[in-house]
Amino acid sequence: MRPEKSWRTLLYVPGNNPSMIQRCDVYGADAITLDLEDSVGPARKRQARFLIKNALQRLDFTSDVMIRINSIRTGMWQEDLEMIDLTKIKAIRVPMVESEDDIRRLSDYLYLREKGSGLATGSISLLPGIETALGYINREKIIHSCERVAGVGFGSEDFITDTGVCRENLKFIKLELVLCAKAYGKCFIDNVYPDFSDLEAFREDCERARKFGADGKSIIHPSQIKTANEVFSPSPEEIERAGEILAEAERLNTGDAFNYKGQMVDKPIVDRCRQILKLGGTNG
Amino acid sequence: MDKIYADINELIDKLEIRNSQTISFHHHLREGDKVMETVIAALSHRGIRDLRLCCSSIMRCHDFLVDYVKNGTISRIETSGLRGELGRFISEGNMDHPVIIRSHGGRARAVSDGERKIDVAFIAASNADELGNATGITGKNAFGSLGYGIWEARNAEKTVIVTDDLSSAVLEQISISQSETDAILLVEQIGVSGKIKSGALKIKSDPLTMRIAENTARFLMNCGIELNNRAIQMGSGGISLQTMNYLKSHLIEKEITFKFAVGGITENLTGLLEEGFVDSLMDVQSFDSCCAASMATNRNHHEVDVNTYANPLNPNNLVNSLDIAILSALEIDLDWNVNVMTGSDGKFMGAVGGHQDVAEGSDLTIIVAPLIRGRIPVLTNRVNTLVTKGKDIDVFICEYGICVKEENESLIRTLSDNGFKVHTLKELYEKTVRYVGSPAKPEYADKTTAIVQDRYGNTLSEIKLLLK
Repeated sequence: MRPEKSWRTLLYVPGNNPSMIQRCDVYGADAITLDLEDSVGPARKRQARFLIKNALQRLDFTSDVMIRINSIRTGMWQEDLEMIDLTKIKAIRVPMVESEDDIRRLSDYLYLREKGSGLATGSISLLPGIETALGYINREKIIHSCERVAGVGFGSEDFITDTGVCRENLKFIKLELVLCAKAYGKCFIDNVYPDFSDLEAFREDCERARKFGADGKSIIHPSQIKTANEVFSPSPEEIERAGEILAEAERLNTGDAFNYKGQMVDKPIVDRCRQILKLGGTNG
Repeated sequence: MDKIYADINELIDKLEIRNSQTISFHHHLREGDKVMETVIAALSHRGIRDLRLCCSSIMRCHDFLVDYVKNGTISRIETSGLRGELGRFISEGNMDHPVIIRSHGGRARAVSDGERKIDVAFIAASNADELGNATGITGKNAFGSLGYGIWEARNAEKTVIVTDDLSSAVLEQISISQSETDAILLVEQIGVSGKIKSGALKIKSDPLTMRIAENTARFLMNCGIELNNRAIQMGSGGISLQTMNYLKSHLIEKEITFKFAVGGITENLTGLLEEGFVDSLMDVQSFDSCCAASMATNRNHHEVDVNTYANPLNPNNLVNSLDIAILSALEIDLDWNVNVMTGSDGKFMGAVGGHQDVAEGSDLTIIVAPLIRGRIPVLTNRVNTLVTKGKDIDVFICEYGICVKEENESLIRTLSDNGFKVHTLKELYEKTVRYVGSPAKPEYADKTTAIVQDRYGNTLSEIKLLLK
């Protein structure tokens, strides 16, 4: 099942860096994640919350805005969200999720906040991050825990630390997560690629991710955005071909399989063409 | 040969250099220059005082001038730019006479129309011959074009070629003729070769630069102006350089070749010449060491003097033939005026260079700059120092997009038809206020520390003494 919501690029921006926050929206990422977790040291969390609050009030964002809160288990997540104007954000990225209870607890909190803000309940999405063995074991329950869950991300470094699984074998983990996400119509966001100076290697990493079904990539540097947007978008040739197939399907208007330039085209292919055109419409 | 001197004191005696005269230097050696310090130290040692220093520009390596102003050797300075310690010294009001700041074209006019008589021009050359011919194209410290020096030699009362590489054979390439040369001064080193040769410009590739460059390239591709066979000045900033990189695939696809590129020539531009994206380079100043080799080997890389480049009294000057110019700014205001001299704190940190000349001459002048640098707005309600008049600016491009003067309806319509949102300066200004507020303006006393002239010698702005 194709996800209802997805993003090709989700740029992490440290929540305590005013210069980066001020500029982050000009680079063309589909989503900006203002981070309160790993990129902000414990002594600066409070400062970062104020900065994000002010940024949401003053700055113009054309990309979707997300907040990455601290893990539910740290107890800081409520402080993280207290001063945030929820009407300005699209989603919350939740790190280190290990059970469906983490998600439900957060969802209940958001329900009350949405009501108080005049937002439609359920309008703030959640993107849980699977980063531990337990989170992986509980992946299906987490992904299917509530309607707010729009997709799932993967934190490779924390996962390696927690499990000892080597990097070369992460693809098996990620494929399982992709299948689980897609079974419930959610997106899968691949982990960051830390070496932002090597754009060629980054492109290869994105292409690998796309091939096992990832919908997008977490980004740590603006220089990666263009490459990732390209890889996770259908190519002009794919869009053109999809358009031609759909036009032919509409012309025939029978719903039957037909021959298009030597290829058998049936309903799954026609549906895929519609998806391609929809994704192509979001091409930066 | 009786023109050649190894002892500067003999030369000083021969030329009868006296108090209160005007001496000049070019800045082709950029941050590697040693010539100015060598000459001024000798003059000062001889007790010569009250000199007017008239240079094409002043770099940070010339901070030693502070000492020579303090001891009275130098009492007046005329230049295109001020930076570093000397800039700070002057902005604190330590000179009795205001510094005169001119564009390159304005200076070319001034030294030839009688406004500024140069008594002795000291012209560094990387290669000279015993007859007195000189060039910057060959020699062990080759730096490329002698664009400022050539015009100097034609107009100064006396011309001294300063070189560290004297050939017994006649030079293969001559920039300054022996007829213009009164003396040759041999020195151990005209400059620090690493700093002469190092790229004056490093091509920046940070995301902000790339974003603005991409916006600029997209503007050029969609503005409806035919690019083929056009004359262009790219500017020396990182954004201009990256813009060409973004344009390349478009140039190839549309088979576009620029007629010529003019101004400060970079390695990037010599590459474009080699690759066939531009037919000719008109080099008044070389910013990279490869330019000397390019001029020596490529017949389409021309050395031009500053009179040909930008003298406003020369109706055949090159800037008048420009179709498109891309320039940077420290500040731009709501009337489109541009400041390239002083920062938001009022301190000297830049140079006029050819900014006024190019902006006035070019059919389309584009300013490229971030809307906000750090927390300092580039777009302001009023520039601290007016250097280039708003009437000469057409477009402003920043990381947030493209801004076109409202009266240019046809350009706005073309861009809108091509899917661009065209901003107004007012709209972007309101964004800067919302983002970073309105910084306090510097406070000044009455004393004038520097006068910025327009190209024709009129006072455009007076820079006052900065209060602490």
